Amino acid sequence: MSVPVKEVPFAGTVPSPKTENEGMITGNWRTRRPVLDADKCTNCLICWISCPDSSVNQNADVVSFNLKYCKGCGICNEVCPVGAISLAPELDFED
Amino acid sequence: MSENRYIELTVKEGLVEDSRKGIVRINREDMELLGLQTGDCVSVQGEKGIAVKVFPAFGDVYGMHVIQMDGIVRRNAGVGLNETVKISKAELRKARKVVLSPLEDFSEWKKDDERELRDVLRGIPLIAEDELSVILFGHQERGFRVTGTAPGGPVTVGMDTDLYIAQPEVGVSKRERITYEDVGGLNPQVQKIREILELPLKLPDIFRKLGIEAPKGILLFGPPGTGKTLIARAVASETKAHFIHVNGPEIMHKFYGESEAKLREVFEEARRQAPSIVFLDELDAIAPRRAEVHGEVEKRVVAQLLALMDGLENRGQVIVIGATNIPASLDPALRRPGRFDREMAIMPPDREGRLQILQIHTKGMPLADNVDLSHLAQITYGFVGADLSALCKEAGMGALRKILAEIGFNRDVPHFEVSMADFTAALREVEPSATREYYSEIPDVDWEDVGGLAEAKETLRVLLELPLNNPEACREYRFTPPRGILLTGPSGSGKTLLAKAAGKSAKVNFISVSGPTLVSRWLGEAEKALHDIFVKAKQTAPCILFFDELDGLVRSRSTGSSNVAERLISQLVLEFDGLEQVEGVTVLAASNRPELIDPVLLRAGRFEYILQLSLPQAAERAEILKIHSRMLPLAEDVDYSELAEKTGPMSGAELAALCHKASFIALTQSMKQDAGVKINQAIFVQAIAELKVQRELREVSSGGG
Repeated sequence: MSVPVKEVPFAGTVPSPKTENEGMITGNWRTRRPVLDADKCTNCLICWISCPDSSVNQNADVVSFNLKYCKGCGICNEVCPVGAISLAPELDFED
Repeated sequence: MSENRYIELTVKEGLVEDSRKGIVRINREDMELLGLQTGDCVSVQGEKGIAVKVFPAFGDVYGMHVIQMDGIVRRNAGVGLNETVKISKAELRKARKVVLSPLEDFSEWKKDDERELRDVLRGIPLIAEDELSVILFGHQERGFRVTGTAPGGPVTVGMDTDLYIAQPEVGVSKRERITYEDVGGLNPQVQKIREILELPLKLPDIFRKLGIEAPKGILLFGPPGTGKTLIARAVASETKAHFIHVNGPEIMHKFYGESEAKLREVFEEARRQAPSIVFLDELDAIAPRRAEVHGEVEKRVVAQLLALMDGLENRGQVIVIGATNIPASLDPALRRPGRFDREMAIMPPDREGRLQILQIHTKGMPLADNVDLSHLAQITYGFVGADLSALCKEAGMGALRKILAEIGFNRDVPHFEVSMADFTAALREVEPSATREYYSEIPDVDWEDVGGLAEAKETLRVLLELPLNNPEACREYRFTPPRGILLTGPSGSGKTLLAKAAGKSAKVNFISVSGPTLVSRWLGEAEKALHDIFVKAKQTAPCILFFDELDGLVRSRSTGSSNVAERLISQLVLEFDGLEQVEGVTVLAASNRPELIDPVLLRAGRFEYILQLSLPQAAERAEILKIHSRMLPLAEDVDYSELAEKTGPMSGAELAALCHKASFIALTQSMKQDAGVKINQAIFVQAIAELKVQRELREVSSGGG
C-alpha cells in the first residue's frame, strides 16, 4: 500500500502537533539559532522531517522555524543538502 | 558612502559545517562597524576580489579581528591562512544568466544536470572568474569556472537564472602542457613511442596493405625517476587520441568483482572513444605474477587485464602503455607479443641526456655566467631525471637563501643569480637515487692518453672495434668478437685506462663494475646484482662490461675461498654462456693477480684473450711523461729521454704521480718567490728523488711490518 508523502500523518500517528505545551517552552535552551538563507532553500523539507522537536514549519515557498520550541540542536543544518541553513550565536539576536 | 568603508581582518580556518556554503564568519562588532546584518553580502578583497555572505562568529573567536573562511573561499580570494583581507559591504544581485565552464573534460551536459547544478549553486554568491568545486549527484566532485555573469559583479543564482555550461576549456590553464621537448635525454625512446602511437593513427591504410596489425602495447620500465610517467604525460598532451590515465592502485575496489568491472570500464571507454591510449601507471600493482600472489582478487584482476588486452575480442584502436619499476614482478603472460609487444627500458640518462635534462630544468633560472652545465652533466653520473630536477631546485633554494635576508618588508626581491657554487653545494645534498655501483657511460679517455702499450692497444682495437667498424672483413674471415678479454699486469700498468680508452674509441656503452661493490651480506644478493648487470648490458648492447679487480670478485674455488665467491663464479660462467646468443656484449676484466682467478673462467668462450701488460720501457716512459705533462707549464730544458732513463722501473701510475709531484714543487717555489716558475729538468729530478725515497720507505715499512 503506497501513500503519497503529503498524506502521511505526522510521525505516522497524529495529523499534526497542534498542541503546544506552555509548561515546557524549550526555546530558551538554545545557544545557536538556525538561520535560513531563502535564496538557497529548495523547500525539500528534509529539515522538516528531521527536526526532533517539530520546530520546522512548512510554508508555501520556504520553511521557517518555530523558535519558541527550537533547542538549537543543529540537525537541520547538518542535513540540509544545499547548505541553506546556518547556525548563528543566539546572543547576537535582539529578540 | 558606506561602500568605501572597509576593515582589515586576519584569515582563519572556517568551521567544518560552513564548508561549501559560500559564507564567512566575522565577529558581531565588526559586522556592526560595517552595518551588516546576518546573511548580508560582503566583498572580500584578497589577491582577487570575491563576494560572500557574512554570518556572526561564535564565542571562541570573540574579540579577535579574524574572518573565518573555508578553503574554497580562500582559494578564490587567493589568500592563505593568517594573511589579511579587506572586507567591505557589497550589494548582491539576482543573476539573469551565468556562464560556467567545467575544469575537467567530461561528457555532455543534459537539462537534468543543469537543474541539479542550479539547486546546488542557488544562493551562493558568485563573481566572474570564481572557481567552484561542486559536489554533484551525491559524491562526484566537479570543478567549474565562472566565465561570466549578467549583470556583472556579485550575483546569486536563483530559480529563474539561466545556467549556461560552455565547452570545457581543455588544458588552458588547469593542466600544464608537457611537450615532447620537455622529456630530456630520452630521444630514441620517445621516437620509438611516437612511431608506435602515431603511425597507426596517421596511416591506417598502410598497415592494412601490409596485412599486419600495428603494435599496440608498450611496456616502459626502468628505475624510479627516469621519466616513464613524464613520457606518458607528454604523450597525453601531444597526441590527439583520447587519453586515459589509470593508476594501478586506483583499480582496486573493496567489493567483490568491482575491481574487474572497473578495469573493463576503462577499456570500454577506450574502445568507445577510439582511437585512444590507455596508460597504466604502476602496472606491477595490478598485474603481479599470478603464481606468486595469494589474494584471489589480484589473480582475477590480472586475468581480466590479460583478457582485455588480447582476448577473444579484438580491442580495436586502443594502445596500451604500461609503466613499472619492477618488470620482473609482472605476470609473464603480459609480456608477450599481442599484449605488450614492445618493451622499452628507460635507463638513467648518459652525459648527453643529463645535459639536456639540466638545460630543461634550468631554462627558467637566472644562471650566473660561471655555471657550466656540461661539466655538471659529466660529474652527475648515476643521477636520474628526478635527481637532476632536485639538484636544480636545491641550487635555486641555495641562491634564494643567500638573499632571503635582503628581502624587506615591501617584498622587493633584489637581483640574484644561481651560481656554480650553489650547484656544488646542492650536489652535496642530492644523492642519486639509482644505484651508483654500476653505471653506463662512455668514458673520457682517448687512445692518445694511453702511453706505450702499443701491442695491447693494437690487439684491443682489432678485437673490439673491427667487428663494429668493418663487419664485412670480419664476416669474410668468420671472425666473431670475443666474449671476454682479461687484462693483467702489475698494478699501475694502465689496465683500467686501457679499458676506458677501448670503450671510448669503440663508441659503445661502457658499464664499469668494481668487484667489491657487488658483494652483499645477503644470501643470493650478489648473484642477483651480477645477473642484473648482464641484463642491463644486453639491453644497452653494443656494450662493454668492465670488471675492475676481477680477482676480488671471483677468487679461485680451490684456494679456500668463501661460498659467495663460489656462487659468483658459477653465476659468471652462466652469464657468459648466456651471452653466446647475444651479439655485441663484450666482457672486459682487469686483474693484477690472474693466478687467483678460477681457471674455469679462463677457457675458451669465457675470457678468451688474456693480454699481459708489462711495465713501460724507457721509450714508453718518455711517451707517458709527455702525456701527463702536456698541460703543465714546462721549461725548455726538459729532456724526456733523460727522465725516462732515470725513472727506472716506474709504472704508468707512478709516472703520473711524478708529474703531479713536479707541479707541486714548482707551485711551492713560485709561491715562495712570488713569481711564475716553469717546471724544468731540475724540478723533475728532484721529484724523482723524492718519489724514490717514498718508494724505499714503503718497501722498508712493508718488509719490517
